[in-house]
Amino acid sequence: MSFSENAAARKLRITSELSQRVSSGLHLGLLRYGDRLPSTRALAREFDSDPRVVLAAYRALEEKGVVELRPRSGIYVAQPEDAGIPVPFQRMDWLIDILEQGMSFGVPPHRFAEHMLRSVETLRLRATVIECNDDQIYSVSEELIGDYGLEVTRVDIAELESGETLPAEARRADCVVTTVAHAAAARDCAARLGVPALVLSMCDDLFAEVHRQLAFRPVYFVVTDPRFEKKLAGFFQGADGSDHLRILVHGRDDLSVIPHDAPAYLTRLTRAQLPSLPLLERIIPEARVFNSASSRLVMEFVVSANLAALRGRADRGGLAGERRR
Amino acid sequence: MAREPIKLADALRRRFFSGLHLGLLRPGSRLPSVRDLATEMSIDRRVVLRAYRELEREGLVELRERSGIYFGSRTPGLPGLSPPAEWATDVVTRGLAMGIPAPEFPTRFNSFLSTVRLRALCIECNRDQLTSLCTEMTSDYGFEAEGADVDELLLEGPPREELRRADLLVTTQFHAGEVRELAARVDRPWIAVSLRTDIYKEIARLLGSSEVFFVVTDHRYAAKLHRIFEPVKGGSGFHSVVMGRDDVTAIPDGAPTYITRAARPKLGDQRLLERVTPEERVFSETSAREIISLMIGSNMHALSQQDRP
Repeated sequence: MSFSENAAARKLRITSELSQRVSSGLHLGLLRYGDRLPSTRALAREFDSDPRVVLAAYRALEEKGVVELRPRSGIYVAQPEDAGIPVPFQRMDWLIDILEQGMSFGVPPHRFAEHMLRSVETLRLRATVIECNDDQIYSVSEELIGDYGLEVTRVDIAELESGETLPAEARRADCVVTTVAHAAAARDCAARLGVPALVLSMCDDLFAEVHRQLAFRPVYFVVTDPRFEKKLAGFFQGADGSDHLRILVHGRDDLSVIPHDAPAYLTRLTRAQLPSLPLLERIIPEARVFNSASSRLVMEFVVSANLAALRGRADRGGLAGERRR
Repeated sequence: MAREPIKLADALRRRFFSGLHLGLLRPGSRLPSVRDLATEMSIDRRVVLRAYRELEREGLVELRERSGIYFGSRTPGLPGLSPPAEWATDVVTRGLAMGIPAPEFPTRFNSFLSTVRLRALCIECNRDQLTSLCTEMTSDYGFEAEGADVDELLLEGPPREELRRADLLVTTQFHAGEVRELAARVDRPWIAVSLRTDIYKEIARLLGSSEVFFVVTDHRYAAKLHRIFEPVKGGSGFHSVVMGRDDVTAIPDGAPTYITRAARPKLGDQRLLERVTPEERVFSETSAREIISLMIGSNMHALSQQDRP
């Protein structure tokens, strides 16, 4: 079948809109290679168009290697270029440089992986995460666990303020982690435990993007803890377009009010609680949240603690009293 | 009046957090001066200063004398990292920025080094250098390595078995021409490693003021060394000691003495063993880079073949 001219123009527009979404999603870390994209039917509703037009747009993107259409499964963000090689490693120079530097520190290529493993996993490190709402406690904790291999004890700052003693587990922490808003409380707590406080800054891309969109259309957030609702509203208070901000609380508000064409962001905690909502297909999940300086700070902590433990072991000639994996 | 600083501090705190999240402020950004804020909000400067001090106690801002007010405080954070820790941190942090969680990084990275086990055939004209080349290919780069004498490989007849089973031929620049020809015969990549020159330079320097002894196992390497040091000032003070032929106990106490990897395990003289300078890594940085490129390239190729349906 052939499209009328109108449909061809619409296909072009949808193609470029989708291409833009995928590329900014990847850029912002909201999408990853292999993530599932909205179905043609869902997009057809959103663009008020024929599903066949959307399918044609997806096919055009498939030709460019942006998406992958898997029969009877769905549409996914495609791995670029050679499917055999994960993207980060396509830059061979980077790998070579790393190994070459390693040799200057006495780590030959053959021992590199083992050295890195020891640098990050000799100790099972535990972080006490302090935040003022469940959404942030959850996203900070998940990131520490998944990306840095830490064990985590979650502490609501309300417990600290009410003078309750920290749970025993939290007192065994190797570090206290929080965001800028609670720096003072975290430093205080860390000083009492005699461990470092890591005060993290969040990646501002997401908020900058939301801020940009708020100028011309409503943007939805779905959160779990009403305290985060309040905090989030505070971030945008007085900003241009802040009256466009819509924050819904999962379990309290009706999520079906989110229009099909509005950008909607979901916190990690909310997403974890909504495993199979059709809404999820087109909602943008919160991805990594630490900014690059904070990411490095946590990694510094992990690596220096591990290397210090290794040195200690070498000095004592064995393993003594350390918590190992 | 007493409550005012707290209220102002609250307002500023909200304003800064919002700026932070919108990307308008970063830790280390300069904040409006006391005077500017006082003018903007039409309040007394002392009230503004008190609010800033309040935020400073919370660690949210930093008042630097004669400089200004900055967002965030310099992280008292962690004690300085040692250079190797700094390197490891950089590596894993960059891995994470590319989407690889730290706990997975070593395994993921390793697949680019050890998906295929490569076999190197080291080719030289003497046992000492063959041992050095093979040891380094094995212990530093994880190759399976075997050694062969260049003259034997060049003999007439079909290519020898060890040539055909090698993934890479390794030699030094002395035999680049011969190995290039051998590599062409069996269609294998080859590399003429350049050796680190520090040890030769150091010996040449020492020869200016003293005799130098070098313990080896193969007389052919001894001859090669003599050719290297002959033209050097004091070159007649260079002595090679071939194990099994020469008497190692003739080496005077206190004379600078070097030993090859091949000779070291054979040296029975405990007293001498304690003071000889052992051979370190011998490949230059340029050669290391070439070998690493070849390893990664071969592994990547193998990985992409594996994943192909």
